[in-house]
Amino acid sequence: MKLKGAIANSSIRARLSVLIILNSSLALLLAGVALFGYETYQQRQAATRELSANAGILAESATAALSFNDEHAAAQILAALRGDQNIVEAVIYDRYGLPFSRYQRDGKLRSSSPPLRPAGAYFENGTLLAFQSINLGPDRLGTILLRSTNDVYDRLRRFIVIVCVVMILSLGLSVLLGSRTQRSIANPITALSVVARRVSVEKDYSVRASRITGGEIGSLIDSFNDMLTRIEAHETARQTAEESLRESEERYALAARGANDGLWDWKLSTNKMYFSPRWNQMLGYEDAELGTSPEEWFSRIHPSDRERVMQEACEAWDGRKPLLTTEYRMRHKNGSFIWVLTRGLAVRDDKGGTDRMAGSQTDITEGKIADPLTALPNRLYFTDRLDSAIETAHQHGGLFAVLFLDLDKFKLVNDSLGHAAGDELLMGVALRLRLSAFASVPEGNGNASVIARLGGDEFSILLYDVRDEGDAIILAERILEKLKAPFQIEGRQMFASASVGIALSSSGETPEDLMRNADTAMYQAKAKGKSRYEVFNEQMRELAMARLEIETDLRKAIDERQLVLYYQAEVSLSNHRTIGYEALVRWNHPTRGILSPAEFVPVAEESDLIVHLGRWVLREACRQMAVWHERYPCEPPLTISVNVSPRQLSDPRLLQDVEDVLAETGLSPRCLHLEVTESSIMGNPDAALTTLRRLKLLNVGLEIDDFGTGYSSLSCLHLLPFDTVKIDRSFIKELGFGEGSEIVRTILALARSLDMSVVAEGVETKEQTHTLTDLGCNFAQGYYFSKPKSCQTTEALLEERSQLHHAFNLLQGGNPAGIPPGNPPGNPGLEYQRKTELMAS
Amino acid sequence: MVLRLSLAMVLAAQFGGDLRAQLDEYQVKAAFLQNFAKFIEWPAEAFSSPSEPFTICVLGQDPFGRSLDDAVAGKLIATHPIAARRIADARLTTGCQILYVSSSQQKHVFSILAAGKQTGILTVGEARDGTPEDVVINLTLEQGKVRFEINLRKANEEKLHISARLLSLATVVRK
Repeated sequence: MKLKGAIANSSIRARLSVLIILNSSLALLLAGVALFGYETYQQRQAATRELSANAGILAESATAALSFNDEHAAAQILAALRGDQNIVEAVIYDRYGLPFSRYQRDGKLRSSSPPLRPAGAYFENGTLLAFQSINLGPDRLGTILLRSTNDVYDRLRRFIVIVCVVMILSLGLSVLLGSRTQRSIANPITALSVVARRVSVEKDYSVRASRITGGEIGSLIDSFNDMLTRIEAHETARQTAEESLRESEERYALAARGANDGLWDWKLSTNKMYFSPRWNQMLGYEDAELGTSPEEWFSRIHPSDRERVMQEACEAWDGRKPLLTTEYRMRHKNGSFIWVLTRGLAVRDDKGGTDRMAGSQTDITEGKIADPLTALPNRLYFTDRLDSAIETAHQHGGLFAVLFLDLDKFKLVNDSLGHAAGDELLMGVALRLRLSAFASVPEGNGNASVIARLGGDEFSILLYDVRDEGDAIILAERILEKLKAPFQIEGRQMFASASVGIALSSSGETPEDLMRNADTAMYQAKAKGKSRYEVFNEQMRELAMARLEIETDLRKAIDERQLVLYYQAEVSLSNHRTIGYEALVRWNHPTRGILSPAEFVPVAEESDLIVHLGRWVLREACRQMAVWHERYPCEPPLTISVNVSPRQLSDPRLLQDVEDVLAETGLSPRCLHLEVTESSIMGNPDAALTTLRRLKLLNVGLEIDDFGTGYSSLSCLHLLPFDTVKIDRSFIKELGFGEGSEIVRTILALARSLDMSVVAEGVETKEQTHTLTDLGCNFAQGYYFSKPKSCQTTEALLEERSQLHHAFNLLQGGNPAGIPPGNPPGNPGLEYQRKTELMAS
Repeated sequence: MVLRLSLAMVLAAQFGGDLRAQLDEYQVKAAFLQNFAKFIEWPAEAFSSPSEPFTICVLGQDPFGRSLDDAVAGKLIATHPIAARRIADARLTTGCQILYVSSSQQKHVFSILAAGKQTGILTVGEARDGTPEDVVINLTLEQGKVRFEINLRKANEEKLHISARLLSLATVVRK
């Protein structure tokens, strides 16, 4: 058994060595034994043959001696054997078997001759005895015995020695040579086992066994390597999965920690919920004070929210909603309620069923009542306080006031300087509001006023214990005063103003009423001119309603063709001829008559209505001009200018709209001028630039409107691809007074240097035209030349002009180029008169 | 002395009686005679046919007695059965291969033989004195042992071929 164990545990090398040795030994042994046996046999045979032959020969020789009883002769014959070293004794026996003559080699005379035996060879005591009968013819004369030493054994002994030596030699050689083969078998296996051990110890699955041999071991190595590759892939996948899991766990933990969220985990099958320590803390309890029952959660939900929350939870559980996201109130340990945001996810198992829902809980009370940017309370809070104030007012009487505050042109600031600047401004405003409000606490008043940010650029103030509107007005004035001082925004100085609306608690019953009233008053203030306050009265209600009405009606107006375009001529200052028209929109309101843009465009600009409006205007204007081109062609063709509102400029579809309209109407792009106000560009210069460039690629004309009123620096102008500058009417009004002319001159110089043409807006007097001409202005527009006229009127004028033109042609013999068509708007007949005079002379 | 006595006895035995010593000697000699035949080749004309007997003739006094007959009974020399004949006269040697000439007759015989010019006869004699020149083999007795001398010239005359082995045993070989 021990041996068996030893064998089992022995190495391949050992086994191979044993195998080789055994093999060789066995082979050699067998060979040796066989050869030995054979050799022995052969030797014996040979010896026997030899001796017998010798005996035979001697027998033959001895016949005569025996026949004649001649002992001497016989002895002589035997003596010849001296020559043969091996023969130690020879005896001739007579016919009676008695020794007749004897020969002994070594001289030691043995006592007696060996006894006679029948003829043959006998091996005895290391000697070979050969008995041969001596015959003469048929007669048996006697027997001769020859005895030789059996040096067979010597020879055999020598033979064995040689065989042994050879055996050892060959063993050694075969072991030596075999070791190579051994190695080629054992080494790869050893190497393989080393690799395997290394892999299992170091858990490094990237190692591979080198394929140093072929055959079965080679394919074993290959399989081994394949297996390792697969394991490696598994390991990698597993590790990756592990890592991802760990990462996401960490992430969640971090997020949870960072978010200061509580975590919950609800296992439906056991109906147990896990609440994290933070979850407990959020509600004012110790880390694990609450148990594991879902009741802990549900029972604490505010009664008015409970049903909704449970509903939403069910929806998430069933999978109707992917996520549970719900805000509601929960009862804190101290009795008060906090707002929480619960997020949850139903965890599905492999079979698609849901047994678990888990998620987070965030305390959003802060967010709920405070605006993150300004740290002022938010609308919710304000409304809440308003609620309480109304209650109090009902119970104890008294007045309070709600003030609404809106920053004028805040949008412009946001667009022109960016949201960061806008935020800074808001914060600044909030600060000043606080300062104003604190200073304005009425005497003997327990409650401080509440300042809140309602959103965007809207702020509200709840002023308690107001005697009459005068108190509120004082606050409003103070606020407006405070806001007059410049703000430092992003290193620059900036001015902001606000519109304030005041509504007394007497004007409404509910918080919504009061807030609406204040809002209305604020709009009124805005409409009246900004940086003012207005106190709500019943009239305003109507106005507010009217505003709402307008918006509603306007939406329909576009579809119901209540909008019309009026056209105002742009003229060349050199010859007063009309070069184009500006399209201005009017609203043919069914009940309110013709409304000018000022009455509805601001409303439209509040919403996306303006985009629809603008698109309609663009299309209609182009369509109309295309028609006129066809009917009343002239050279150069008339242009049509269309205003593009800031909102339109930032609309991504603007480009497409222009392209579509041009394609639709067939109007040549060069005849379309788009007017963009300076201020609307400065909102987001980069985006504006891109849009303008793209528009330029369409080959339309670009005019910068109200130039001089925006916040741009003149150096920006050269970057913008404008063709024309339209000087704002305010500068034209100043012509002739103070520095007005200088400004215009500067603008003209700038435009000239930039190779832009200039149009002066709002030209009303002849003097202005002269001045402008002197200053070198190209074109003008204004009441002096023409008011905006309806489509029909404009068309009539064009018709007339065209007829005049034909008439001239007839008279001139048809040289339309020589007579520039024109219809001096102010003096319809002037040019005509001049021309006829010319012709007359 | 004893031999002389034996000879006498042999002579006496012709008329019946076996003397042991005498028998021994002439038994031996008889065997010798036979044995000679085994080592000598006769010429072809010595036999007319293979079945012709090989005759050993004893001329004169027969010292062998029955020993000769006993010795040759049933024996063969090659294919020839051996026969023993006693002849009284030298002229009756025809058909004798071996002729033993007793000493008494010796002188006569050879002159007859010489006159006859017969070949192929192995003459065997026992000359006690002098050197016999007429017999091929001369039997002698030395130290109690029977010996013989061979006259090779005579053998050649008789056209007998004597084996070397026999020659080597002879005490004297006359050429």
